[in-house]
Amino acid sequence: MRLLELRNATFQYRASRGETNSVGISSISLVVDSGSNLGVIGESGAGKSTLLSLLLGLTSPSQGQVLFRDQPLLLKSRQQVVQFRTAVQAVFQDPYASLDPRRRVDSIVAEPIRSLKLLSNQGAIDERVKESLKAVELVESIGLRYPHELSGGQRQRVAIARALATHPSVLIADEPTSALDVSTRIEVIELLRRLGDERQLTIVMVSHDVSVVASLCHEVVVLNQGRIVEQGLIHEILSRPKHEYTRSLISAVPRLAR
Amino acid sequence: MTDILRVEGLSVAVKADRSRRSLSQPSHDLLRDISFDIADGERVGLIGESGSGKSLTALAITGLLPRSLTSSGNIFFGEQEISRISDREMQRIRGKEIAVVFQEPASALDPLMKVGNQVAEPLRRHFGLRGAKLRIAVNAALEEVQLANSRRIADAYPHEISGGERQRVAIAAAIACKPRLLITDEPTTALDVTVQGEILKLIERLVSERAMSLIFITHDLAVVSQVADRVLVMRHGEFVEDLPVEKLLASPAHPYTVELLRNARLLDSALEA
Repeated sequence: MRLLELRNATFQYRASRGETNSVGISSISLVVDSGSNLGVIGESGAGKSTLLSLLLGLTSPSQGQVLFRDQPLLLKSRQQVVQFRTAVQAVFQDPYASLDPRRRVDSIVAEPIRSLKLLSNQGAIDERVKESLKAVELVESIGLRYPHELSGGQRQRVAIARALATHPSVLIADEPTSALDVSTRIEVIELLRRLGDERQLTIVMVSHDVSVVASLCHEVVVLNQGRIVEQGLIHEILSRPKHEYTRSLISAVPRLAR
Repeated sequence: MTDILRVEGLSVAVKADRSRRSLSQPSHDLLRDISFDIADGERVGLIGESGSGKSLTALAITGLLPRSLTSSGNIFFGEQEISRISDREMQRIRGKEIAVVFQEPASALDPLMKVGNQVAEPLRRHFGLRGAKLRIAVNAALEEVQLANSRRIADAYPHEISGGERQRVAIAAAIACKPRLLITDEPTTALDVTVQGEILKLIERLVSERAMSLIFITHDLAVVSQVADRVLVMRHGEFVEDLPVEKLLASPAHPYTVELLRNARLLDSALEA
């Protein structure tokens, strides 16, 4: 099933006086199919954040469409938005910034369930929080702690647990590992892969790091200056990159010498 | 080869604060009994995860430890013991003989000062250059780091240039006085992949052309394998391994190093299509 789709989507930022309109992204078409993790690769200024805010339903494209389960996503429709937010969840780059420092972990994880009014019974909410923490391999008692008491890797697991709490079908991860050490990075990638397999969860991974995307995603989109320069299966793009920019991205990844 | 740097039994701990003693836990060592030496022209990678003490080692060598910390042990730069010299004496060495490039060029550069002046500062201080001679030296330093339009860059403020350009400027300022030891602390972590590759190449070229010694701090084994001859592996404030790069890649001994290598290989093999 097509979970999420961008059809010819363009988003322009308003230009400051005297400048021509700067394009955020320009005529992007991509499909998030259930069961096939999608990687979006691009560097600073490629349009990754703009693409993300469209995929997360935070803004509407100036031209083109965002489709959710084959229906145009209308941000004015309260009912559709609740369904959308339940099905599409996000994990962000910086786990030091994305968790509210004043709230306990259990309350952070329960937040999307509360704000979307998915469960009303406190016992059921507690149960869901417990299940989410377990899914990311955190002990239940961590629910009683505050973010500042946790390591970077633990915080990122809490952020993932929060995203899982609604039982989503798409998890959009924005550079989820780039603030982490290599070892923690591997743990988080392995966790995401396992969650994807066990929970029929499709992952959209946005990153500048080709090796991270390659370890998790089946398909990939390469963004440069707001446009898709190449898209297809990851192993085909790695072995036969067509576009010059893709080649430079791949060859720039530091490799183990000798 | 002679040693350019010799560190003997370096330990760093949080200073016991008399007023807060009742609250503080028993003194906590951040670096424990670290010893290593670096030969003239040698390139050494310092690898470990966040909090392992990599940056603290660099700060101790350059005399930049925060006042709340206390250190013991000896640090020799050439023949000179530098761990207990005055700030004034250290300033003669730092920036001239030993230079540092930090991770985040946006915060290492003064946002209110034109880039050219920031590169000029060490040249003025250590070599007493002024006027036309200073301008020529600044331009030469900027061209050395391949900043094509050195005039435009010199006249710009840090926010007016890109992240990669900023890191090149920081390198230009660090090498302007032709130091014998260059310490780089995660110099490419904040940069895009393609820019990261260029900066690595630049550091490598400068180090070999000038026969500088290099301490390259990173958490990324792949990066370190590109630039270093020898790798020191740090964990929880101690050295767990000290060995040549080839040996580390072929037969690491310590379990932690084995783990580091396994993870680096996982990411590396993902790129094999």
